[in-house]
Parts: sequence; structure tokens; C-alpha cells
Amino acid sequence: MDENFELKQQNLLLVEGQDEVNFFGALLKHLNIESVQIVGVGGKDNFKPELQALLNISGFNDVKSYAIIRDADRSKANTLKSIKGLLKKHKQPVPPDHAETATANNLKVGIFIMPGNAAEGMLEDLCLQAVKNHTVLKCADDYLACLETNLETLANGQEKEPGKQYFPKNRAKARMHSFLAGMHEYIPSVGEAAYKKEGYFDLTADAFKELRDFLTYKMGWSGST
Amino acid sequence: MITSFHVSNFKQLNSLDLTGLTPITIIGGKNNVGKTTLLEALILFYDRSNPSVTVRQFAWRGVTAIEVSPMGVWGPLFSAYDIKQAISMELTDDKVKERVVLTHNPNPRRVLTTKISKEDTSYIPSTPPEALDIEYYVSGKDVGKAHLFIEDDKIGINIENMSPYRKNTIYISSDAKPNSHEEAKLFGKLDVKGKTEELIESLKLIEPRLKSLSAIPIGDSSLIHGDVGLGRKIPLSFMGEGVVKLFHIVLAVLSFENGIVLIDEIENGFHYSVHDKLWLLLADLSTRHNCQIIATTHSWEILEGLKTVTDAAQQELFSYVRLDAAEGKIIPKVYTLDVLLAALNRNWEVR
Repeated sequence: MDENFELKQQNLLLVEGQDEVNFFGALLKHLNIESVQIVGVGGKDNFKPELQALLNISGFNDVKSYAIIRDADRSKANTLKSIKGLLKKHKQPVPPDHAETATANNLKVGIFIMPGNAAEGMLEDLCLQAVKNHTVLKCADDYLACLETNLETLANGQEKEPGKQYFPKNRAKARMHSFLAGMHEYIPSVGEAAYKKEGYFDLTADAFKELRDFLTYKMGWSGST
Repeated sequence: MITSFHVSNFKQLNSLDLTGLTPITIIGGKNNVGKTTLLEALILFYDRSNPSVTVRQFAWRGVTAIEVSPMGVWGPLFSAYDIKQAISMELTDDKVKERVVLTHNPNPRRVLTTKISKEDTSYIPSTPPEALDIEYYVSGKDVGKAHLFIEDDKIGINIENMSPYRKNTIYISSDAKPNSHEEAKLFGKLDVKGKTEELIESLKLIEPRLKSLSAIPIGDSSLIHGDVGLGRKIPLSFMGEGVVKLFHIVLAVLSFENGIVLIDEIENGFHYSVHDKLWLLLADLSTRHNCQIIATTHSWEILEGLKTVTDAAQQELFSYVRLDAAEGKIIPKVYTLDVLLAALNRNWEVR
């Protein structure tokens, strides 16, 4: 629940959850972008009703631009198609593709499907690309390899057998949490690690270039926006 | 069921295009945006052949005295009092388009029904100074006209070729003042058919002790009384505003099956602890009696009561519309129930 939520800026960044709110808070701060309000919209199953609820908020007519950032999960193409369909249904500008924008009636809308150029994944995948050569990550990967050897991976639709242990459902999250657990100062989530502790993820890294370019050039948000 | 309603030039609703109406539609919005006016527009649409159709709204708003002149009586209906612009209302009801147009007629012609004999050469027909013409259309076809005029401080009506009513519509005002005569008549009709049990059971939502209801003659009228186990029956109004209001609502639904019940400020009189059960009751009544309910509200709490509607079929019954005033227009923002609940759960303002 958002205490006393109100639209404070004319530019909005719509992300999935609190981790993303924290991560993008750090990224926008790094880019000196101050005129953008970050709003967590949807989580996994609530994006459709929450997006419409946000579009209905009194004062939304004053919004000049907004970007939707969602995880690709299993399919970037399906996620993109779903978002485009929703925008079209609500008579919003519809960007033609990922990392693109569309403008109509003085409103610019952009879509970015995480982790970017890769077809599948999420924020954690993108952040782990930025630390791919980190010693702790190598140890975390060894740990995951051990789990993979000793645990069965549950297939889609397969029923769990009582008492049996299975490989983590979300590999990216497991990998990220293993990495964070190995750091000297433990911070339990990727968003907090980016926001609270500068330096955990180098926001100048190549891994984040496509995202930086989308926010600054495609959306037109810059330090002077 | 009405699914869309377009109004132009009616009071502050100079242009409102409302779609997505459902069996139970809740209307929100800031003060003076036109929530009550929307209900008045619907009453005006359906209340035909009634000379007081344009003045009843004054009483609902607590206006007890008006200038008896065309401008005093009808001027307030027109946006910015501009009586040169016709008022137009169009709705879709069960896929049938219906339309009503109100036009100020400065030069009406009285329709005479009395034959004039050759000998009666001194007869000079009088013409009322002005009239309000109301034209009714169904699927584009003219189904009747009414002409309201003011003469000798009274409002009269001439009717041409009027088809019968299609829908009963009842308005329940925000303070739901008792109207003992009307209530007793409707209650009596239910009582004769043996259908008061559902009314009593519904009122137990607010007054669980209620055992029975009766219309008791008092003076020239009848007052509804209830038995709450005190050893004697007491007037309904002694049981509190909530009971009176719920009585009006349920009586209206039961009395006017296949009709529309319009409720202003539905939250008035109801403690927050009954809001959830109230919505479930209305969902059940609306479905079983095919009655559309359109209610206005200012209340966050009454909307939160909708969280209890978890059955998918019942969820489809509800919608919420917030009227926003922007750049001289009224813009409706429509929420299906899942969207409204998403907003409420996030504490995003919807009123």
C-alpha cells in the first residue's frame, strides 16, 4: 500500500516491484535525472488492473511521458506483445518495439523489457552481467552447480513429491541472492544493494548501457529534464 | 440494462459520454462535478407524462421556493441557463438506443381537442406564452412528445402519441426522508402478494432484531412500523437512518423489478461495518430482480466494502465511474471492479 500516493512529476517510470524501485532510484540518481517519479506497478499478476488504475488517477492527464519496464521472464516477445496490447486497449501511444518510444497527443510512452538484449530474464540477470567477473559470483555459481547436481529440477506442470527437494524455481534470483550473501556487508535484495550501497553494481558498466541509453536518449530524460 | 448514457447541455453536464455501465454502477467525483445531476438526468429521461418531472429535483435539493416562470422553472435545467441550446440525452438499454430532447419553445401552439361550432364565433383559443417541448425517440423513431407549459402558476402538460413507459425509475435522495404515503402504498402491494419477507430479511442487515413490518394507519396516512421485540411496534424511522434508507432501497428494488434505482450518497446512514454485506445484498437483489442500481458516493470506506465481492460472477456486476471536470468538460474515468480494487489496495485516490 502506498501512503498518501500522489503524482508528483510529469514523467513516470513504471517498474514491477520494490526491488526495481530501489534499483532505478539508484540508476536515475547516477544519471542525474531528477524529474522522474518511479512507481511500482503490477508485480507479477496485477500489472493489467494496476496500469489502468494508474491511467485513471486524477492528474494523469498532466503526465508528459512514461516508460514501462518489465521483466521478460520466459519470453521477451510475449511480454512485449502483452504490454503493447494493453496500451492499445487504453488508447495510449504504442511503441513499436522494445527500447523504443511512441508519441501521441503530447504524451510519450516507452517500453523496455529487461534484461535488454537477451531474450529472457529479469533485473537480476542484468545486474549479474555487470559483475560477471566478480570473485563472489564465481563462488555463487559453484554453489548453484552443486545444487543442480544434487537436486531435481521441477518441470513446468510437474507435481512436487512430498519431502523431495527441488532446484530453486527462479535461477536468476537464487544466483543473485547467493552473490549478495557472499558480499562482506549483507544486503538482502538487488534493489537495496544498488540503492543503499554505491559500488555493488557499477552503473557505468556496459551491461547497463542499453538501459542508460533508453532512459536518457529515447525517453529524453537527462540531468536537465 | 443501461450500458451507455450521453448527456449534453443539461445543467453542468454540458457534454458527458458515459459507457461501461453495469448492473451496479457507482459514481464518484468531487463536489459539484455532476454526480447527482447525472441521476436527475436519468429520472428526467424516464419520468414521462408527469407535469412535475422538471421540478421534483428542486425538492430533492432542498429548494422550497422557485419563481413560477419558464426561466425560473426550466432555466436551471439548461447548461449556463442557455435555453436556446436543446438538452439531449441518449442511452443504450439492452442494445436499444433511446433518446430524449428537451427544447424551449418560445412560440408554442396549443393542441385543441374541442370542436368549435359555427355558432361559437366568440371563442378565441388562448396560447400559452412559452413551453418546454420534450421529444422521445426509440431506435430513431418518434414515440411521443410532451409539451410542458406554465399557466395560472401551475405547470400543465400536453401529450402527443406517447408510447407506454419502458422502465420504472426511482430516486432515493441522500437523506432518504420518509414518504409515508408512497411507502405504505408500495409496501401494501408487496404485502398483498406475500412478498414482505425478503424486505424484512434484508433489513436485518442493520437491525437484526426485526421480526415483522406493518403499515399502520395514523390519521390520514399510514406509517410503516416494525417489531423489534419491545412489546410494541415502533415507526421505522425510530430505528435509525440506516434502516430507513435500506428500507427505501429494498422496497424500490422489490416494487420495480426490471427497473432502475438511483441512490444519492449511498454511504449515508450505513456504519462501515455493514458496507461489505450491503454490497453483497445489492448484488443479490439486482440479479434476482433484474434491477439496475446507480449510486453516487464520496466515501472511500463504502468503496473498500467492495473488497468482499470475491465471486467472479458478482464482480462482473460492479463498476465505478469517477467524473472529472477538465477544461470545461466532464470526463468519466471508468473502473471495472478488479481495477478499482487494485487502486484501493495501493491506496491510490479514486474519488
